[in-house]
Amino acid sequence: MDSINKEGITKDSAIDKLPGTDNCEIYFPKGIPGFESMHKFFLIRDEEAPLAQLISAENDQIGFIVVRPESVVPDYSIEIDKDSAGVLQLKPNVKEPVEIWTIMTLNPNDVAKSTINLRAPIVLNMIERLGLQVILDQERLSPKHSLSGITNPNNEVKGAVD
Amino acid sequence: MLVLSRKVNERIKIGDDIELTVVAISGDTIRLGIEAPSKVRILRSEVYAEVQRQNQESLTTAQIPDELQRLIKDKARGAFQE
Repeated sequence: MDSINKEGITKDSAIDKLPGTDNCEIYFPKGIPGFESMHKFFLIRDEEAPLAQLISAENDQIGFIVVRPESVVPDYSIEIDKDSAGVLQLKPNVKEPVEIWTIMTLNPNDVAKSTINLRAPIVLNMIERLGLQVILDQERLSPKHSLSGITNPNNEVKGAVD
Repeated sequence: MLVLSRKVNERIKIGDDIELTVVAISGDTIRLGIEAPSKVRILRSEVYAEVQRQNQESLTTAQIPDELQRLIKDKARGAFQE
């Protein structure tokens, strides 16, 4: 018990020391696909920032850069199935503070060539501090949506006309 | 693993409220009909595997690059103006 407490305190205080951030610990009951045994993650971000980091509280080598999808795709919307809503303890007809993030695949050599996974967003219930990567079996949502807009030629055409 | 042989239109019941129907067979493709309560998530297995792979590829604990911060902020500004 002692060692668990000690470790928890050390990690919390390290995270708290970061200046100007609004961090919280989120519990992922099912882990994250590929990392199913990891359940506790810190969401590390500046308040209202469209970018954040999701870092495992159990293994600090495991983490992701996450992006608010609406900052890249303004009309992004998803429907959460009942099973996922259950995992996230979202109640029907009750407006919970839900946050949606997408995982970025960073291209370190050319950040504009980085992609985001629109098909499997991270959905967070910020009251219960619960998280789930919801997999949407929809072809129109790309798991590798490019930030440069190359995968989205319609937007390019629209910009050219304007 | 339980392995069963079924013909077209034959069904398999799993528990009380899940039923599979072989709708059609064409070459090496089988069309399955699935009846299940809406709270049961049904996903083609390769879709989950694809998300696993994509997540593994996305793994990074490095600081968010400044260039990326700028790019996303510019994009967000453009997105909200539309």
